[in-house]
Amino acid sequence: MKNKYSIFSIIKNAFSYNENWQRAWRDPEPKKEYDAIIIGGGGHGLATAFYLAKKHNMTNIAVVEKGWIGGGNTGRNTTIIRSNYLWDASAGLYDHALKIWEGLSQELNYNVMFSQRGVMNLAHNLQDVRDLKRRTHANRLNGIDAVWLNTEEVKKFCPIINTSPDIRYPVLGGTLQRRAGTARHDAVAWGYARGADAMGVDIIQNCEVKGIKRNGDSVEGVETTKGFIKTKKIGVVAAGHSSVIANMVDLKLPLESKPLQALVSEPVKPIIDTVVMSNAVHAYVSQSDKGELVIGAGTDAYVSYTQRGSHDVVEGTLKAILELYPIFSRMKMLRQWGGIVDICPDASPIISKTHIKGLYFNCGWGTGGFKATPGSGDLFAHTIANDEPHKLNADFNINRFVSGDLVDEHGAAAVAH
Amino acid sequence: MTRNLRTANSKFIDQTSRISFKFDGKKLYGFKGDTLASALLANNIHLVGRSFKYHRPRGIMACGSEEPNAIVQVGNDASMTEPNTRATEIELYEGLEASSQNCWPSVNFDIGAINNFFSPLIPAAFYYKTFMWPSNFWKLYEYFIRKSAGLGKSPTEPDKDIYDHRYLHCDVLIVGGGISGIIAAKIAAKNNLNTVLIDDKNILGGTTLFQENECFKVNNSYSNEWLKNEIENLKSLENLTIKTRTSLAAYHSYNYLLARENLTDHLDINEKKDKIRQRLWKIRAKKVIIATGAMERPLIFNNNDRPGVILSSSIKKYIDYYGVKCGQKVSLFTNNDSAYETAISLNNSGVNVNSVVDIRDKANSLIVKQAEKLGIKIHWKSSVVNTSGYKKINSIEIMKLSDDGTTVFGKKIKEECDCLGISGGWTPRVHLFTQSGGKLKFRDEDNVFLPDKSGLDQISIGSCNGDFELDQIIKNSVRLTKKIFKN
Amino acid sequence: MFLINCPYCGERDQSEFSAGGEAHIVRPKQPTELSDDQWAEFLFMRKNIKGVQFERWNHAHGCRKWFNMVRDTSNDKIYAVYKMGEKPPTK
Ligand SMILES: Cc1cc2nc3c(=O)[nH]c(=O)nc-3n(C[C@H](O)[C@H](O)[C@H](O)COP(=O)(O)OP(=O)(O)OC[C@H]3O[C@@H](n4cnc5c(N)ncnc54)[C@H](O)[C@@H]3O)c2cc1C
Ligand SMILES: [Zn+2]
Repeated sequence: MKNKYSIFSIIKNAFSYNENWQRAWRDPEPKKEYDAIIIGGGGHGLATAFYLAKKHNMTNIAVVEKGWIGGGNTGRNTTIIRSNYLWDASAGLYDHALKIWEGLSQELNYNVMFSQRGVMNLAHNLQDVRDLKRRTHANRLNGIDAVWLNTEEVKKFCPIINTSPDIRYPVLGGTLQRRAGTARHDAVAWGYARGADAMGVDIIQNCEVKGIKRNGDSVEGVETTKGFIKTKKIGVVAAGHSSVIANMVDLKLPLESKPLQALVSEPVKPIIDTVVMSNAVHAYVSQSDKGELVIGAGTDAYVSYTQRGSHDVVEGTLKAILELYPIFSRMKMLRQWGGIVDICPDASPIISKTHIKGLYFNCGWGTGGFKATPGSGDLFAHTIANDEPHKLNADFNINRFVSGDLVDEHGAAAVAH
Repeated sequence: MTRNLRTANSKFIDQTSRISFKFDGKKLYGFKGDTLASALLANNIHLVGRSFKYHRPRGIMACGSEEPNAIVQVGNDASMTEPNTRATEIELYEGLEASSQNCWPSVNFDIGAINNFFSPLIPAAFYYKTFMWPSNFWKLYEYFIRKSAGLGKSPTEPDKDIYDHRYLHCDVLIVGGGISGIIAAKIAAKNNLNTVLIDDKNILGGTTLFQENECFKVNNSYSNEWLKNEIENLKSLENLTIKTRTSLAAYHSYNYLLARENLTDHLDINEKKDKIRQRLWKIRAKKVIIATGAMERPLIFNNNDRPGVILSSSIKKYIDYYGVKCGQKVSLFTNNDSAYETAISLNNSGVNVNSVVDIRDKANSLIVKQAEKLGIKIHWKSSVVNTSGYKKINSIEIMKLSDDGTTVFGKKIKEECDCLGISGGWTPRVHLFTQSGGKLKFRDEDNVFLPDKSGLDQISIGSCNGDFELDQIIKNSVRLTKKIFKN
Repeated sequence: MFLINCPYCGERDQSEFSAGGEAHIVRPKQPTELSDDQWAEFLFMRKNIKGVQFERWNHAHGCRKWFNMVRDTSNDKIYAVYKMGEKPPTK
């Protein structure tokens, strides 16, 4: 049993010089066989394992991670969480996640610092205004909170934005989802890992999947850097590396993997307490609890697995940031990095069975899957346990690219995030 | 200014031109050539900030870009203020105003310091373990957490300064104008290659500039004299461009690099007007030579973070370069020879060196013998185990180390001091190399990471490549530079 | 930020170019005769290789011509560029 984190556990441990804290999760060697194996120890993979154990009683399972947990896009993202997507299917999916976020710290007994300080999307031209208003209406029909703000209201909500009419992309208004916000990305991976581990899930780090063994139409196990592990069910949650794993079984996915960049400034005292995004100029900014400005840039237009990205992309973003927030000109950037995102042609994810029995894919989250982490894990666990999708992810199967039932969310997926 | 903290023989300070500046609202004086850090030290101000979480007092610890503590807010104009600036990198100018950060109401009396008292209750990662009850209270908790986080303050009005960017293409880019970079620049430029040499300081020369001791000689002259001469000779090389006050900020693939040149930050407040403040150089170089040197490591012991605990080589730079005494009664703690250079410099400038605490059994190098000859006391095979003094160190405790070096024993010796120099050896600055995608290897003898494999047309030379002895640095810099031009 | 050797203009900065995805995916002559699976394969499915990949690029801010490139997507190293219609190099 895991010791519970509470104010009392903190006081108790203070008396023993904080030397007796229990390990948050074990570091086991892989067993010979599991009932299911999750490939990828990011937020989505760990959440999948957590809900498989918690809701479907599958505790003889393992998460195999080639590096360290949360070291992929989970640890590299800008943590924006919102559910104001256009189509009904997406609204269902993302709002399901948002509802879990609202009680996640308590569910995990781990503070993921989910902070509902609102996300605002700016409109800079007439078409932006029309698109965003349409989306606001669609959101409301789906019971998702969304409001339209005019320029003065935007300025009032976030006073540091430059709303002067003579800038290159003047602010003509914006939408606001107040229930939206941010969370602490690492804590999400760690909290799910700790919770899953407590129920018996093996989390195996430094273990890369190198091949998938098949017998005819079904899977038999995975070849890893720690040897062969037998299993009948494999859930792949490898984000930018999904195609690499699909190629192991000659499966082609509708994905392209591209570097997406973000950067943070040095920490300063609170200056912006909401999240502001802008499609037209392709930039967004928020401020972390530590004080850093968190800024998201765009993707490079080519496939690359290098986790770095080009300078001109970041430069373009910072130009836009400085036009909207000229007060940030003297701030210094502290870190800049890239993550490899798996982009689907319709900017919506895939949570799906495949034609190979026992092989499931959860991918295509591209630039915006962090917000869906709890919901994605929950629905993927359901899909794996029942060999059948939940009604909330039925529309997100791979076959939509054959049938043509795409869920085009390019507008709401917005500036890459 | 406290007169007796300046020595008369500061080589790089113009003691005839006095500059006035303000720190935390108080008017102080320094000289042309000072950094904010050296001027503060000359005014006997060590306490300049508070730590991020526990609000422990923080003093100046280093002398350059490696400074972790002395991070200040420059200016208080709503549009021109700049947060999180290293005092060790700010060149003093007439009218400079700076203030300490992350403290309230003042750096001397900081309410947040109560966190230090409660520190056992806020261990690493405590946020994740608490603030979950009642569940809808996080908003409130977060408000206070956010307020106490962050260091400096963002400007609140648009920047009035002008900035610029330019492209630069060259055959060879040399990063770092210390001894190895200067050797490489000479070879490259003489090879008819279009060469650019950049350094983030306002003058070239690096660490060797302070090395004036008969233990370190090149062609029969002191290494610093020899180097000054070499720098003088660089000026006649036509295809060499030298850029000082220019820091390399990014190393992308295909030898694409970004550098920031500071054009006006060092000028007097009324000379800055209408000039371009900074320029971003976008550099594409056929070959890159990294010569960024090494930085001194601190040592680990209880309360090693008090104001007045300073890297030993920095103490030496402050005394030799700026003519500033970091203390009047200095103790030194080391695991290598470098601290003895500091001891000798201090001694030569009339500063009282209490003792050198050395974890080694004994050392017989020339420099150690020199120190012994000067009568400097050495505690061999001993360790500093604790320090005291809240806002400034006032004493240290020394104990003997066991034979295997893993424990201490015997009586604690208490030694009064107002400054402790520490030297834990040297760490090559491999940051640029790794940022370019290079992989490192580990050298067991002295526990350092060194550049290993890289996919780019580049080399590392000098101390950033693990050479620490003068003759080695010169020999290998020449050899490696010549080699990279062959292919 | 790599350097690309445009087969028409020579070596230029990557920011002058735009990427056009995987190369040598031939547009079917009679799309109407394809099954949905085949059409999806042509339209959407990609190898998305980590390693040596053949791709199309356009010198958008230069000669505006399309050409092909062989690049290792795991380290962005470019092995070859060749014109449209030319045979891809074999190693
Ligand atoms: C810069 C940036 C900003 C972003 N901003 C936002 C945002 O603001 N809001 C938002 O909602 N989303 C954002 N995203 C997207 C979001 O980060 C991702 O969609 C989400 O985190 C994906 O989670 P994951 O668990 O699927 O992937 P990851 O966290 O990447 O986990 C996948 C794991 O699989 C492992 N793996 C891969 N191959 C193998 C193998 N062969 N064997 C074993 N393990 C393997 C990897 O090492 C990795 O740890 C951003 C992404 C980036 C890069
Ligand atoms: Zn061209």
